[in-house]
Amino acid sequence: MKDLAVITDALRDEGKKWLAMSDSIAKVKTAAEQLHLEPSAFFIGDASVVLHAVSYRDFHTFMVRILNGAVTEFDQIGAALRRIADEYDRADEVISLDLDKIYRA
Amino acid sequence: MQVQPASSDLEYGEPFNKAFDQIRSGIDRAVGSFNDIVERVNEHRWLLGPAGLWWIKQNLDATRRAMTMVLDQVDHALERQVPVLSLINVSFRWVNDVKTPVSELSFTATEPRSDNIAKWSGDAAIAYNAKATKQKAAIDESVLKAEFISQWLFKIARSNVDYAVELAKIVTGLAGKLAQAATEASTVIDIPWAISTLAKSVGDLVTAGLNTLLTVGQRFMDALGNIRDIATQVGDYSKLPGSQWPQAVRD
Repeated sequence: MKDLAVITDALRDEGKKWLAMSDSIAKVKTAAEQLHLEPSAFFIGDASVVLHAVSYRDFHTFMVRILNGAVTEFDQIGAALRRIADEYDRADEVISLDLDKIYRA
Repeated sequence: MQVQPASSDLEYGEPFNKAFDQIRSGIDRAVGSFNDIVERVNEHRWLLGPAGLWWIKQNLDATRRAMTMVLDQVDHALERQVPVLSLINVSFRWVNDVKTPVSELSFTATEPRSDNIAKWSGDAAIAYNAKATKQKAAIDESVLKAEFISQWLFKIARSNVDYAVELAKIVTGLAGKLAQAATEASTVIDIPWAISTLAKSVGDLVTAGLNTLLTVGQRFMDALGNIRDIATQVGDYSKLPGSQWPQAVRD
C-alpha cells in the first residue's frame, strides 16, 4: 500500500524532529542550570537581599524543572510517533489505535 | 561557545566597573589628603595652642566620622562588586542561552518535517496535532518567562549601576574637598579656617550623598514589587499545568 509507506515515513520523520528538539532543549536546560546566583550578587548597597535571592532561587528552580519536563516530553512524543508508524506497518494499514496505549511511556 | 552581545558590557558592566575604579582611586586620594592635613596640624601644633588644637581636633573628628560613614558603604560595595557582575552576566544569559534557543523551537513544534504528514488522518492524527499545539504553547510560555526573569534582573542590575555611580560621586566629591583643604591649610593662620570649612562641607556632602544612596536602595527594594509578578509567573498554570511542562505522553 503506497500511501501507507508515505504516511509512516512522514511519521518517522516527525518523530525524529521531536527527538532533535529534545536534544536542543536538553542543552538549554544544562545552560539554565548554571544560572544560579548567590545572595551577595543582588545588591552592592546596604539593603536586605534575602527576598530577592529567595524569589530568584524559586524562579530558577521552576524554570529548570519545566525545561527538564520538556526534554522528557519531546523525547516521548518522538517515541510515540515511531510506535504509531510501527503499528500501521504491522497492520499494513492506517488502523484505529488505542491512543491511551500509544501516548503512554 | 557563548557570544555576549556588546551591549551587555557597554550598558551595565562598563559603567559599573568604571564607577568602582573611581571609588578606589577617590578613597586613596581622600585618605591621602586627610593624612596630609593631620600632618600639617601636627607640624604647627605649638603655634596653634591648646584651645586652637582642641577646636581643630573637633572638626577633624567630625570629618573623620563623615568619611567613616562613606568608607563603610564603600567596603560593603567592594565586597559585592564581583558577585553583582555575575548578576549582570546572568541577566544576559537568560536571553542568550535560554530565551533565544527555546524560541527557535516554537516554529519547529507545529511545522511538520514532511508535508506528507497531511495525508495522515483520523483520531491519532487529531490527537497528535492537539498535543503538538499544547507543546508549542508551553514553549512560547517558557520564552516569556525567560524574558521576564532577564528583565527582572536587568532592573536590579540598573539599580546597582546607579548605586555605584552615586557612591563614586560621593567619594570623588569627598576627595575634592579634602584636597582643597590640604592646599588651603598651607599656613598656620589658614589651618583653623580651612579645617572648619572642610568639616562643614564634608558633613553636608556626605549627608546629601547618603540620602541619594537611600533613594537608589529604595529603587532596588521596589524591584521586589515584581516579587508578586514572579510569584504570578510561577503560579500561571494555563500553559504549564500544575507548574509543570504539559504531558503529551503519560508516565
